[in-house]
Amino acid sequence: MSKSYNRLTGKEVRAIAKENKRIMKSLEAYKNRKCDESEYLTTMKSDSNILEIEDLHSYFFTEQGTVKAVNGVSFDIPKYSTVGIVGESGCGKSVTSMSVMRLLQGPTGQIYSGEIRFNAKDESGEKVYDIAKMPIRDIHKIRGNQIAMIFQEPMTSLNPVFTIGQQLDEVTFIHNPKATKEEAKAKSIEMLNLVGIAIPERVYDSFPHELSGGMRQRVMISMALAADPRLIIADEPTTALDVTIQAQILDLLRDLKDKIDGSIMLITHDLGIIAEMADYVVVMYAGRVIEKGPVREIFHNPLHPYTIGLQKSKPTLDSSSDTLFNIPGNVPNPINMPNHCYFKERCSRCTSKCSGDYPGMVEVSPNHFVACHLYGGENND
Amino acid sequence: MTENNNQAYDPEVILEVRNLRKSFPIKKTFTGKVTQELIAVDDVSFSLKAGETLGIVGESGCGKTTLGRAILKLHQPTGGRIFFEGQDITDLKSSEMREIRKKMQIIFQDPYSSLPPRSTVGGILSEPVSVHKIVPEDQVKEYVLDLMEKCGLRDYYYERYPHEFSGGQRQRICIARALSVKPKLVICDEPVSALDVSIQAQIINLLKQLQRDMNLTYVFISHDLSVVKFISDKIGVMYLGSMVEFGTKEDIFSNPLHPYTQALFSAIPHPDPDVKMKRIILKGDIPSPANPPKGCRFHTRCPRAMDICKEKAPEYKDYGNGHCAACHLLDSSEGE
Repeated sequence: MSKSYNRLTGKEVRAIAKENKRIMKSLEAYKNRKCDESEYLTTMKSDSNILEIEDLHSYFFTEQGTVKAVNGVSFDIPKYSTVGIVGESGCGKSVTSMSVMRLLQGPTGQIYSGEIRFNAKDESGEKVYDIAKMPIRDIHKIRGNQIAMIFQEPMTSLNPVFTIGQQLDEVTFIHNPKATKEEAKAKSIEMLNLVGIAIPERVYDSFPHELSGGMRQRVMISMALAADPRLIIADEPTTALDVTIQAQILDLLRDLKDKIDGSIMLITHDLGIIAEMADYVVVMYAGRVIEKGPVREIFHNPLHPYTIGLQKSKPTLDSSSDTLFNIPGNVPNPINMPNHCYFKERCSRCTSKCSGDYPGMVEVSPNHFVACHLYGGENND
Repeated sequence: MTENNNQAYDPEVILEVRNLRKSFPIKKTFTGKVTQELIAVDDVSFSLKAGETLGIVGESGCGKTTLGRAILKLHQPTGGRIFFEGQDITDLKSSEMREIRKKMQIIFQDPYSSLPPRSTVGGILSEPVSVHKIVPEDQVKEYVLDLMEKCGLRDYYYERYPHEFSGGQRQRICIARALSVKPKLVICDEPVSALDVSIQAQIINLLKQLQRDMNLTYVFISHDLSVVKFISDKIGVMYLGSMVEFGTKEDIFSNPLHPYTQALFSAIPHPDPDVKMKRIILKGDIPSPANPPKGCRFHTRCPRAMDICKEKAPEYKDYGNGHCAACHLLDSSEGE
């Protein structure tokens, strides 16, 4: 009973704070440095990808210790496709997206290491940037116009003191400073039309509080589209909405993807949405990717015990069993993670190997990877 | 059943709600006369047998939470009657309600804000037990520890405070608190919607198991149809304050009568990429309950609305086997 929670002594907290300060200072300096574009130009592993994340580590330096919110995440987003990221709260799916947008709250939240390669396109042609190495002053080259984000809460993401029109026009002005007022307004109304708002002129002049949740989310989507992004990150776009409104928004997103020829990174905890929207699925648990693969593979042939458990624990409309399958226990505390498989304590198929090192990614079938000792490389059974 | 209020009650029926109505005043004149009101629950009737689970589904703002609270009389109903174990509790005073509340309890949606931060788990759980004198004072701790074990809480949690627990554990504490007075009816107001999927399954299983062990009756309020289907015996679908369809789980799912129920079912994303369901996408948003549309309230979004829907509200009728619905379509197609 005594060892069940670890409180730190004042001395330990001070030691951690001192160490954190040192690390954060150097990372902040790196973030704010001035440098030439050539320093963060890189090349893609494959030309068909729009985004490649490789071994990304994003940490939060807190006084209780380092929270490794994203701990070695790698996946690719191919052009013109939808990649879904699923996981429970605290698994690092939002932090991954924030890292791509470079929106982590400094100085506590930092990209510690890793590469985020993004295939950007401007007047001079295609360029590949390493977002993780970009100084923060250059980030405007991609944030907002090349990569746009739709946030979870449409209620709090819009500014309550400006009209929808003002907020939409601002996007056009920032990315195209030469635009006139009329041009901006025309563009904004076109965008509102695109997302299926019936009377765009009226919405253009209204304030956020006058709109319903579904309408606000549509406005957020139109704002994300205003600068013709190549990649849209949708972070739980429908979690705050009702099911019938959710169906409308998902329909809209699917439609828009074809219209703008972009890719979508869809973050959600709902496997149903993933099944419906995504082409490729990444399952995350406690800051790591535990399984990734094409959507059919993940749903028809899930391999990792966590993926299997997640699918079984969700009641579906046509299931008829009496008790639900459940994964025992809780998501582990992100501070001081052990050096074995993070799912070990909750796993029902644990073997002696699981106490060893964290399992590596194994490719079990084309493009289907899993990190579990059950599917260890040489004797694959 | 509706004609005679003093009819001898069926001992199996634990809860009966007749034409329940709850409205909130929005505008008042200087003298206090209500000039505009929001009808949150309008003319809802159903009955529930002991040991059964009634699932109530609907979108936000449809009045499902108000209905749950009105049953407990946390909101005084504006009209209609509530019978609990055959007793009319609609007009009971709050002191008389206290006795009844021992038998009816509620589990709230948000486990983060529904526990007092300054009491220990032991304190939270033993208070209702001592207030209602469920067991003699010297056995309270033993009783609480026993209850905690039933709800999957370790005994050393007794001395801890709510902030030390995760959402799932807190919801277990809320469940234990509700069950500590040995209730017969428990209103579960979205008990799992704030939790992660894997924790949701744990809580749902716990609720089901406790129901078997303690012979509880649940009113399970949720917006998640798949959860409601899993736990309920009967299901009521609400839209803008009124019950649009009511029936057993089998009837509702195999043969949904109301177009809103049909649309609601088709809106749920199916966790299988190969199943492509024919989707009914409802246009527009839910109208404001302060100013509901005339006639059938659903006609503004209904894909099959007819002229009559705009003028006359459909009658809530039984279409066999206790499967009730309110829709004009059902009347017009009856002759076919």
